[in-house]
Amino acid sequence: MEQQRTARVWGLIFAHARADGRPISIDTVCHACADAFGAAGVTIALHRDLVVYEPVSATGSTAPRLADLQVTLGEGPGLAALADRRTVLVPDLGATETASRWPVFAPAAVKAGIRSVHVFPLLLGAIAIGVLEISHADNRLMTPDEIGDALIFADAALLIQTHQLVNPGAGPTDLQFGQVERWAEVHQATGMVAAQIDADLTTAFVRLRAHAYVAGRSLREVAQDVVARTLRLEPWMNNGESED
Amino acid sequence: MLYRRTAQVFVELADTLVAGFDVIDFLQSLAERAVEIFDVDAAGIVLADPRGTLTLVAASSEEVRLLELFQLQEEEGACLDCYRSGTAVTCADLSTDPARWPRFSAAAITLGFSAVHAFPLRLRDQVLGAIGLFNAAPRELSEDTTTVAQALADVATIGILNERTLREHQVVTEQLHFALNSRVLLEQAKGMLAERARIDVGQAFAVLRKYARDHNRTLTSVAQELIDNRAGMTDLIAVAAGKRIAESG
Repeated sequence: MEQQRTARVWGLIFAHARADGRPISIDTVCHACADAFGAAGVTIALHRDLVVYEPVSATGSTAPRLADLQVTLGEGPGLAALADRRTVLVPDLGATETASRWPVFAPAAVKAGIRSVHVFPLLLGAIAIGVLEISHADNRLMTPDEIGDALIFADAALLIQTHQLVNPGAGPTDLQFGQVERWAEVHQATGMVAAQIDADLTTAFVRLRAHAYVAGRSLREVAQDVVARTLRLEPWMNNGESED
Repeated sequence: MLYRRTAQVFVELADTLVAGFDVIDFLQSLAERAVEIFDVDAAGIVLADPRGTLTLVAASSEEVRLLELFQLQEEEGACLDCYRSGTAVTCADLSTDPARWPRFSAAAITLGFSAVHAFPLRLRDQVLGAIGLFNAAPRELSEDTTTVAQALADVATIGILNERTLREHQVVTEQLHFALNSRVLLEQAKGMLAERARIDVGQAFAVLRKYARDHNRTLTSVAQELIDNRAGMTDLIAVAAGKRIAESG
């Protein structure tokens, strides 16, 4: 099982950043994703402490409308994916079962020219920070291959967003891209760090990655040290500490 | 004897398919039972991540060496060949054919395993993953054992896909993603408990599992509660810390 799929999707994202002449950001993921799927719209919305669903990046004509509808109506596939922490695939917004699931949203979305939506949570175990929504003007169900690609776009959005939380000025080469989900030690270490610094898992994951970055080591190596208890992270100071 | 043990296990697994189903609990039980039924030394289940890797979701023991062996199979080995071909792949003695999987065989032998057998988790034309069985001594599987092992792999498939009616490949992809993410959540919970109770992650897993069983809860729900309500599960942490004290004393 080669890592081809991951490399290919990240290649698309990097190519977009280069073409725009900008560092990789959540917008880059959004645009690269829209191109890859020929989508009518792509939205990335985050779930924050006080706001359940906050669109932070959108591209395509239908994206703002889709987000507005969900914010206004309080229902829709993005909100469902956030609540259930699961992928939500809606091949036909005009179908009876879709209309009965979201009685106000579904007809309004169809009226706005959206016929199908695929939503992927930005998810890593219990870490759930938002959703990636891909909409099309026609009825369609993504193939398993497309779903695989979309999951990597969602991973990319999660990695970029959690990195931004620690270093807003970071450029593309600063990020440690990879298949974070592959190594059990990374998730174990995330849980351990959460207890060490008395924070939630998202914060712990950010700290772990920041530590690896600053130390110039791989995330997996750092995670192994945490699990072996040769490395502990201390609670973050308020004054923007230097990393240990 | 094989059939009697197997029948028992199938009944047990069928029970777990009904109420309060948890995919991780289910696959974990299946891996543990596989060791008993087939008289092997270790068993594990790997699933095809829709992102394109083969990832371990359950193992009969949380021994690091075993987990590493499964991780290695992302690149080569019996589970990978089995996943790619959709058919059973067996090797009775890894030392007789070292060129077949040079890195995997070397690692397996170093870790004390001589025989490996892998059976596919199949749904019609799609392969979801594989169940791998390891023996310390060289071993040929009998035809009966092979038949039953494939039946067990089929039960695993049913379990993974349990929650929804299956019409589409897309739904299978989603279920695989869900199962793999549940495993990630469990690893996070293991780490959190290990740190709070000052035990290692393997012990943390044992405590979580026992707690879930004693309280008739699913492993995932206990793991989620531990993560969500960090101040809440004091009894679980006390049990875990008790384990550390008992073992050191």
